[in-house]
Amino acid sequence: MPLISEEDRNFLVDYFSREIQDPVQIVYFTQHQSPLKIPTHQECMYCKETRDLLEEVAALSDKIELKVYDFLANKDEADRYGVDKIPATVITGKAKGRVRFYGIPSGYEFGSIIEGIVDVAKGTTDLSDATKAALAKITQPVHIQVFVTPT
Amino acid sequence: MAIENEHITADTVEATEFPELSQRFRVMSVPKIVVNEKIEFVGALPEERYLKEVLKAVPDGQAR
Repeated sequence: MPLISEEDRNFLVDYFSREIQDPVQIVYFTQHQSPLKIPTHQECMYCKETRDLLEEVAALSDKIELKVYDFLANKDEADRYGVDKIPATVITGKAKGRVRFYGIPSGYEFGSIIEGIVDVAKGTTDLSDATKAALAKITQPVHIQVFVTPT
Repeated sequence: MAIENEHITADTVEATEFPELSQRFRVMSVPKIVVNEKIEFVGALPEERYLKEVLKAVPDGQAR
């Protein structure tokens, strides 16, 4: 049974076709089911549900490509995107910096990830010119973490 | 902000799935924003103030 309702799917197909002109990638890190319990790693809550959700989203636009990696088996890729916990969804495209979601993007966060996909594809934002000018001066790494809860 | 600058990484972290990280930054209410693990604020700030907080975390050469 699909996670996204038919109504939402129709809306998103339309929304994506209007808003996304350039390719955008969703790079998803998860953990494949294994009978072994690795003591240092927390079991991955919602990994499967997140993957199912992302697969449905990627199917709604041919500009969206989904890549799924195993956090342990594809450690090089995880390091490349700076991913240190799962489930992790990295959105890449025209945008200059990194945009990542940790955890399942449910409820209000689903809207956020959809907007994130569109904004990364566009590579532009609605931030003011003053903000953009200030941001352009930054040459040191800045790591912004926004903690949210499912609503 | 991440979209505008290649040095910026923006993570959205679902707090209930990552309790250790949430406890580390004493996340009590959301949204809680942590910049470079040292500047913290709670609530969605208007753009100008948000930017000001972010710039606090950046070494002196760039902050206004």
